[in-house]
Amino acid sequence: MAGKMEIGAGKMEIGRRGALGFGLGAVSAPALAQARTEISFWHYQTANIPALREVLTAFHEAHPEIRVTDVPKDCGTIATEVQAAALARRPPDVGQILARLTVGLVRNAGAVPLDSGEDRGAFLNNVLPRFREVGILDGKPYAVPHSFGTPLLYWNKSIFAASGLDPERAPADWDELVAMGRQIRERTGRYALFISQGGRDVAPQQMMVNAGATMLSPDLTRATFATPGAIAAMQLWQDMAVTHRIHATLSEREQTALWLGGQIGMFVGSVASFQGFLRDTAGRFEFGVGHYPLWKGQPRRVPNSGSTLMVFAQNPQRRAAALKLVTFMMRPEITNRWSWTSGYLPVAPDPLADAGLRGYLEREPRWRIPVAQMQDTVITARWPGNRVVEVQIVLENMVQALMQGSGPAATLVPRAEAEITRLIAESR
Amino acid sequence: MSASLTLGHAEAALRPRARRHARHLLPWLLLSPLLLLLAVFTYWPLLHTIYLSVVDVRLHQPDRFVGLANYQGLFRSPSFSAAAWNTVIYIALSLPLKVLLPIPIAVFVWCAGARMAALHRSILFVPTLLSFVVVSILWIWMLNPVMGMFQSVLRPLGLQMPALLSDASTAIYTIIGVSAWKVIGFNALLYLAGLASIPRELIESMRLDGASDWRITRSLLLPLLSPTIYFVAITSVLFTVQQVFTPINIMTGGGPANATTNLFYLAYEMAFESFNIGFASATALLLFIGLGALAALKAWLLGRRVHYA
Repeated sequence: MAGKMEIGAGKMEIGRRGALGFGLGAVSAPALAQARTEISFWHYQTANIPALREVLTAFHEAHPEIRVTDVPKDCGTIATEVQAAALARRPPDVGQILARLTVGLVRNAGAVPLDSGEDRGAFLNNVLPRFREVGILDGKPYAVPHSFGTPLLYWNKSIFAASGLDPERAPADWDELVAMGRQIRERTGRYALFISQGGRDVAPQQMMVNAGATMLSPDLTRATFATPGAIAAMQLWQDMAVTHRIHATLSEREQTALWLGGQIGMFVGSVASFQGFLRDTAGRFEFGVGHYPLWKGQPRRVPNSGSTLMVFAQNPQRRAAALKLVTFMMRPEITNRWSWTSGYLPVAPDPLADAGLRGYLEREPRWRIPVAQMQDTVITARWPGNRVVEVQIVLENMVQALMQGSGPAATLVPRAEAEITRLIAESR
Repeated sequence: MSASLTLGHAEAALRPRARRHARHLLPWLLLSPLLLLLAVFTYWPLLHTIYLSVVDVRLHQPDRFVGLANYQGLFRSPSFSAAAWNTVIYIALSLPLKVLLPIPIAVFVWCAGARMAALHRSILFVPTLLSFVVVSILWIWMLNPVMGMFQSVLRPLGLQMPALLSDASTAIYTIIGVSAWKVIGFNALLYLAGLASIPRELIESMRLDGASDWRITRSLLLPLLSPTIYFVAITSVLFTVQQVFTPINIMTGGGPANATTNLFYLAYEMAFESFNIGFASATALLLFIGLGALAALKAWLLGRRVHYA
């Protein structure tokens, strides 16, 4: 309803301009084009560009007075480019920013509060409250979840069957996963598991937070993850690689190729991989989708991966247009559709109320798992300061050192925690 | 009348001076496009990098002078110490592979018949023509320990291909090997060009005098090749640091656990992933100073032994 009203308002505005043009005796397309507000939208979508452009086409129909130019960027460097552009006073009007980088971007790229638009941020109610927290800093909303991820367990049904395991059942917890993994290794000689690092710090965060840890102190001044539970979880990860030899210790690229080639039994990675796996494993093997394994009977608690939308427009007219775009993109019918077309997690409070999503779940029952896991997904650690990538590298190196057997988790995890606290203290 | 005469004298006296000035200005005028390009694209970025390494760049605020704080922070970073040490390893191991190994290859091709030499030259040059991105991806696939090409050769023999790229103790040597494979052929061709300028009659006369192959190589070929060796050594050091960026980025991302990163890659990560401009500039400057010192040292060491025919 709100959407229809806005569309109507857009038509009225054009109508007024048209009447003015008629009065002057010169209604021309260039004149209308001149009246349009042009805004830029930087994002890192690749395979999902057609789905994204469908959303933008719908936005253009609803808001003919605004023209959005979408600019695809590299996922690994988009945040840096936004900061550089902001420094040059030419930031994008809207940017897709990884959730764990939002604090840095608020401080270093002049992000605009999302409640500064016409609706005072009412559109944020279209997002699950727990997810919304990822964009709030000092009580102000600067980012809103979009293209959100949660980790899932994918398994190769053919390898499960060949190992004498039930190909329709995923391991419920890490202990069961290890037992099943050893069975796969013994019966088939194949690697049983690959945990995708997914952007350096995502996988270790998920492993440790699921084991009860909290990554950062509430005031964002120090790392706090080296808890006994987290150390035990990371030790298990090392044991799976070094002692049990069920976890492949290859590079991310090699392991992904092996998984897609049907050579690895289980793959722990983002929901964002789902659509790609459907395409890339077609005709090769069938995969199952399960929840992220539980840790020692504790409730599941996994940090999200993925990104948010942030507004950087400094010009008032463009800022208003940028906020309209974000508002439009966060409509439940848009986010739900985006979810199943792109493979990202739904972010609306009650996605099952959406008929389109319900229809998709009937066609693709495996998608019920990520929808159900929304309740277990907590927000990722948002690293403060300007040394975020170094923080991520510390966590990545910690995992790699564990995989190499360079030391026990009881040594490597507290060392990484101390190093990250030092980096936070030294950054601005 | 006398006034006009005086003026005429003065003009006459000025003309040669003006011509002299013009003669002095002409070279600068001709050089000015190049100097302008150098100033804009080389000297100014260098000076600006020095500036950026001692300030804190902040949004919508003036830059804050921080002195050597960026350098101090860099020295405290474990990533920097790993990158600096790896840079030394890359250079030290690349030199024998990229500078010395191509010499016997070039001599072998040079000694082969003309028809075979053309074939060998073509084969040697193929890796040079390939993009480093393509080369890196090809090697990832070939080295894959589960379904790679080498594994398919080793499996029937009951052997297992080790995971070279994900093992911290082997990853850097693998990248050095791939990087050397890419440029050995090109450097061999440079040596071939150097060998082509050596008259074969000199070798024949040495043979008639009873000189052995080793004696001919040591006393004739190597001294006459020394300008080429000097050139290849200098360029190999300079290019090694930056050329391995691509295989590092594609094959390992600097890992596992910083095992393959180098200063060039660290500067990239600091600048373009972390947007830590101060640290990136400090890293780049330290690399510049280090490479400059190394080039000067090599010029001093090797330059004294170079024989220009």
